[in-house]
Amino acid sequence: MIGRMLLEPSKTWLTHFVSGWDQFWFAPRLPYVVCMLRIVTGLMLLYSQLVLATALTDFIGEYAWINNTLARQLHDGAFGTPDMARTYLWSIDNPLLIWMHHGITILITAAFAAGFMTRITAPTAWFLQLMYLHRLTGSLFGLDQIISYSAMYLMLTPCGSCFSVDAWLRKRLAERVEGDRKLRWLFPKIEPSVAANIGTRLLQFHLCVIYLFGGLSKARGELWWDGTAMWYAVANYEYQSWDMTWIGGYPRVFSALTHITLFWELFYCALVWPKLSRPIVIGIAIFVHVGIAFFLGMFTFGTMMIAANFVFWEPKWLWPSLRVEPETESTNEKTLSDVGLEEREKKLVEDKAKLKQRVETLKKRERKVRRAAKRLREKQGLDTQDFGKDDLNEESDLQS
Amino acid sequence: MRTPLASRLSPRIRTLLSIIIAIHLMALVLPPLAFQTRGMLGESPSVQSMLFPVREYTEFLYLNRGYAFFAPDPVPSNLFQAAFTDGSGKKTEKLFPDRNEHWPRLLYHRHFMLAEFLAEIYVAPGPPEELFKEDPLGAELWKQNRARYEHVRQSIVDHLMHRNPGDRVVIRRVEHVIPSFIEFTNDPIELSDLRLYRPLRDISPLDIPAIETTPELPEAIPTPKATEPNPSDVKSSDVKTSDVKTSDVEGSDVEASQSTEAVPSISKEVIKGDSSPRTEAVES
Repeated sequence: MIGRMLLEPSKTWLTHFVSGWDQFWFAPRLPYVVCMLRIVTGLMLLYSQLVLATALTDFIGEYAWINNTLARQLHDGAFGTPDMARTYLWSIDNPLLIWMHHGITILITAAFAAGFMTRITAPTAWFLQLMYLHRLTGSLFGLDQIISYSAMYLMLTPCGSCFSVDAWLRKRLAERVEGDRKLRWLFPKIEPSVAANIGTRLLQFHLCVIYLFGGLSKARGELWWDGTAMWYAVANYEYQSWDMTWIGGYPRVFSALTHITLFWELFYCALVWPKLSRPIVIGIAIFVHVGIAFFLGMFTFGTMMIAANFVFWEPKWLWPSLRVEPETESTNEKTLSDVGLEEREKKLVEDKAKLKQRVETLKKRERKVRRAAKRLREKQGLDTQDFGKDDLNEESDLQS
Repeated sequence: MRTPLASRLSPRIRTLLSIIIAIHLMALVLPPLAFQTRGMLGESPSVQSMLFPVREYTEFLYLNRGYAFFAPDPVPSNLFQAAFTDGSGKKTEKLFPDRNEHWPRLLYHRHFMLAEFLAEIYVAPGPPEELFKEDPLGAELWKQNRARYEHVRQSIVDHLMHRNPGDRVVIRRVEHVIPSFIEFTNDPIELSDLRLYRPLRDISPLDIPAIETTPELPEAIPTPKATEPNPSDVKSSDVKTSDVKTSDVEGSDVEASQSTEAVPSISKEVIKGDSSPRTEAVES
């Protein structure tokens, strides 16, 4: 009895958990937000590669700040535990090859930003970025992390389905795309998809992890508690891009900003999910990252973090017109599996309606018969047991 | 609860995807957790055990980060200064990163991170011989970490020599101190004031007391008397950032050289407005 009492709530909880998990990860999502994020991530990645090109052999090659041999040694265990942050760029010494490789990387990244052959260029751009990350040990910072993570999650989604060259090509080659399964995959249409949702959710979760541990590590310091951390950030000459040292005359202001930053980071992971607190949390995120972008000299990082935060925005919040799904593609462009599923769904709906109608009819008939039986009993004094329950059981009728 | 569209995926595929997602989520959470739970004895054993199966995955995907931006506290920046001596004996000095030279800002940041990396991996010379007997593992680790630092430093020197053929190059680490807001508001000082730059010596911790008792040890860039500068002692107009390049660099502070020469000497010019040499120990 007690076991059953404990088992039932656990079972209910588990059912709810599984259902909630499925809904969270596998409910389809429109791709508009990931498509916009693709543009920002792609352009930022492209900018990063172009800037690297201005001093390419200073960072990659035999005579780089960290030369090829040393870059390898920093990961292969020569100075401690080896790790898996491997890259083939350790082996490229020839400047011509380095330049050719970088040229190809720039082209692929530009294609990703423009949404050209995104199904191929997105994972390729991400992989190339990863190879650069493992080569540029010692010269990396927050921007490299966030663009790599964004690219990683975007490649899982149909992020080239809109605002892209792919979308334009799909329109142009409508007939060919329709009849070719590979082309349909290559040029995805705008529709809610599980892939878009998984990519979005992973980036959302990752942002929560970044902010949570950013907040926790700050909470271990002293200056984030005594309120002076903001001062030490704005008075850091190497970061400074806009002189904000006047804030030193207003301790109440900078200490308040310090505390807001700390608590916002700590609680971001919890408060960003409820719709009520989300705009506030995202609003502070924008405020903080605009500050980093303009005053701490990290325009690229600040911009990228703001863009990443928009992954919490539902497409319909950004464009109210999207509350009704746009009919951008004709129905005959749907995949075979989609058509099959829709037909089955339609049939099920029709069957359900028919069943409902039959139940209604039977119920009416039952009421009629009961009334007739009552009248008969009253007239002839017959016993009710003459009419067995089973005779009027609508379920058994339906089953038969 | 499930929408008709969500149920498009078969239960088997949903289960498979759920397992992959769960593993990835572990890979997201565990590296920063390991970073936070690292103490004197290393990482927390429980976190280490949980991280073990996904460690390589996190390393390859660059997920093995701590996300400790400006944490636990915002600290002074680390830079490095290079001195070049050409064939005719002409000496020039340069501070890395350089806002004027390294442009756009992203490129400046790459150089800045390089200087921070050099400071982050810094390990004092050593270990002393006795440590090999007392704590062989600790001594070996010290030796290994010191070797890593020296290799990185040498790679930077090699790069500068490659960019300046024929020059002799030496570098040293410099810390840029941040004044407290009270000092700053009481007597504003330029953040680029030379007195806020502290050269960091590359010496064994065992040698520090000996150096501290040395009466006269000229510093390349005058250091503040306390940990943080006392703006009341100085006038911001006295010294400018540009003076860094013509500053006095004492050979004993210089960390690396192209040659086997242990103590290279570079030009000594007295910094305008502050000619008195400071004697404080400047080890980080």
